[in-house]
Amino acid sequence: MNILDVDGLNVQIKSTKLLENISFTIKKGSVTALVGHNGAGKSTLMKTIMGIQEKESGEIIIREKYNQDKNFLEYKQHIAFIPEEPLLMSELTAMQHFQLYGKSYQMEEKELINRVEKYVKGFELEGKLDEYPESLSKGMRQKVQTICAMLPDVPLLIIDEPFMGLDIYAVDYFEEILKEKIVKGTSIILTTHQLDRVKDIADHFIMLQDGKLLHKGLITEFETITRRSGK
Amino acid sequence: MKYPSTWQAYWFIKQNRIRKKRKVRKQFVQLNFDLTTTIYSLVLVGYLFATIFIFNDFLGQFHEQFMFIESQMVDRFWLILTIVPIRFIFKSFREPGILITNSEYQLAMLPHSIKKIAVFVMVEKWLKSLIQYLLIATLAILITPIETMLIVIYFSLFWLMEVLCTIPQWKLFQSHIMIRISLFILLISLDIIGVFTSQSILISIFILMLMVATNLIYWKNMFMHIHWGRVIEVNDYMVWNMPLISKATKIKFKKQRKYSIFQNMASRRKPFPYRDSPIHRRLWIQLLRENVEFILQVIGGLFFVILVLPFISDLVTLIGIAISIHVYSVFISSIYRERFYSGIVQVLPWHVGSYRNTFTIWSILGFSPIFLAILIYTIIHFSWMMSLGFILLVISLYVVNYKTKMDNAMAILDRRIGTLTVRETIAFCSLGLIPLYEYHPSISLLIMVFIYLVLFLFNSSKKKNE
Repeated sequence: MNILDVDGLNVQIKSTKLLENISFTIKKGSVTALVGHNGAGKSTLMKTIMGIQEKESGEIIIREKYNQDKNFLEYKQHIAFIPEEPLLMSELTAMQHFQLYGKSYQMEEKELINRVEKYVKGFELEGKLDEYPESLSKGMRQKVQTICAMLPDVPLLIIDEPFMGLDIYAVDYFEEILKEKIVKGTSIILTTHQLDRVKDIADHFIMLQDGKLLHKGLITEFETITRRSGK
Repeated sequence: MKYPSTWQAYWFIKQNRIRKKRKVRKQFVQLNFDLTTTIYSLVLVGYLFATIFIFNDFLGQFHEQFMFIESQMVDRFWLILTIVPIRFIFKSFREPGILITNSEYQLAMLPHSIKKIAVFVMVEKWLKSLIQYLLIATLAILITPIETMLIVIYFSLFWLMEVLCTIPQWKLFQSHIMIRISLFILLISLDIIGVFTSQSILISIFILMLMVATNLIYWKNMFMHIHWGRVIEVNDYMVWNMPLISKATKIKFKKQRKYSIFQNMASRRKPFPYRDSPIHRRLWIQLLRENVEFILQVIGGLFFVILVLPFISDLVTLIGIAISIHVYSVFISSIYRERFYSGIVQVLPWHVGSYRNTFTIWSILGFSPIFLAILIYTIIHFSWMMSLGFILLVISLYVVNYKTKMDNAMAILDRRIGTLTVRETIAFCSLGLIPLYEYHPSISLLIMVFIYLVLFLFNSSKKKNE
């Protein structure tokens, strides 16, 4: 089953084309690494899939059923997103953020509390649940944002720079829970500059350059392509 | 030891800021206007200005009104003098008044004194406002028949107040909200006492002396107990938020709201009861607080318009009431939609219905000042029975317009419709019943009932289709 279908996607602001004719699909349980230089369009692509960035044309469909242009509210229920910079609200404590996520993804309270306890322990955030974001360090804020997106069971996880700002223990733990999610059938799209880190997780790659899809395929083919193109 | 020149460093930053802003504006102009259109537009504007103001003596028609304003300016001079500082207290709720941005603050990290930099910033502010007042005063002298000396005195007063209120505003911005509210209420009360006891002169001299004393007292410790994070956040926003450009480029410059006076309350830190309403309520409060100034301006504007219009004519007032309901429902639905495009909410699934339920109370609260103004007009203008009918009509029209706009906002969030629908058009046209009530009250109420029926049937058929 296709979890994500992106077909003929074009994004532009005024006359500047940010993404040009991007098409790809993501299967259930597959992990796709979005690679490319700075400004290649990776984050724009993620934001467009999330519906934050307006698109010019093209279709984005989740689970072969939920079209971004036709049932956006249902479409959103099937994605969780971890942005590169935490989007936390200064009015909510860490726990209140988790509750906001739990309610938004219609999680049962018991299930939410169980998961919060598990992830908070794993990310070593005990005692920080009633803290506001500004009293947390940057790394801790990133952990809170990561936990938020890990709480619901969604078919598609979108992660912009998954390991940014996390310490070495947190990165290991995050990898562990990502693997758990993949086993359960969650598909993941992620961007990263630490390719070595994701090689064990990712099975596919999409290479973007100047907003165009340059290559796509199995991650095993990736090194051959980069060696050949000398990048 | 030779110290580096603070003025040169400050000027360097200023020059680069001007250059950057010029570059952004230039890009904006190049993207949106072409040279030929701009030249033609300028010629057209010049022609219109010359036709209306120079050749046609357009303002001559308003001679009487200007004379009225002139007499009020003479009679109410002392009262106005006491009102001007209130503006700065009001501003201190949002703006520090001294434009020290992150760049100026970083400069103070280098071997430059923050006080010296602040003096440059203040002098620049005073000079800018002096030029602005001079231009407006010159225009007022040229195109209105109001006595030149009076205009000069008034604009000098405004400028003097701008200078005298800079430091008080700066210190008030740092103070607790209760201090600001108390001072605000105190000055308004003093004004009212001054008016009723005909002692405005005494009150204004007292306020003026208070201003001077505050300046003298705080000049030395201007930079004690300063919330630099908050000052910089607000000032950065003020310097770099360019509304027209952000509208055209669809890129918003947002304030990083990091501070809230309620945050330290233990009850605010407790986890929510696990229901939609308490969570959404907090999110609404946060959004409304972020936009409080804008909200107050719109609601306050509509309130005053309805209070002032009866002095022109009844028909104009009724049209004004109809437009106010339309403006308010458009405004409130856009605030509702804004919630989903800011902060973390934009990346979450949206339960738009639940958000809407928790928003209803705020929309009613926001409408109450406007409704109060309508109520005052109704009681004065209509008989007892007619008043009842009119209030019923106003409430019904408000409900129809509010509901329609909110339903459309929800549909737009789900990307199901465009921005204008048949239902919206019906709701807008139904506002015509307000001026019609003046001449045919029963017909107006009957049509209202009919519109309710149509919209009810429309709603139920839509629900069946869903």
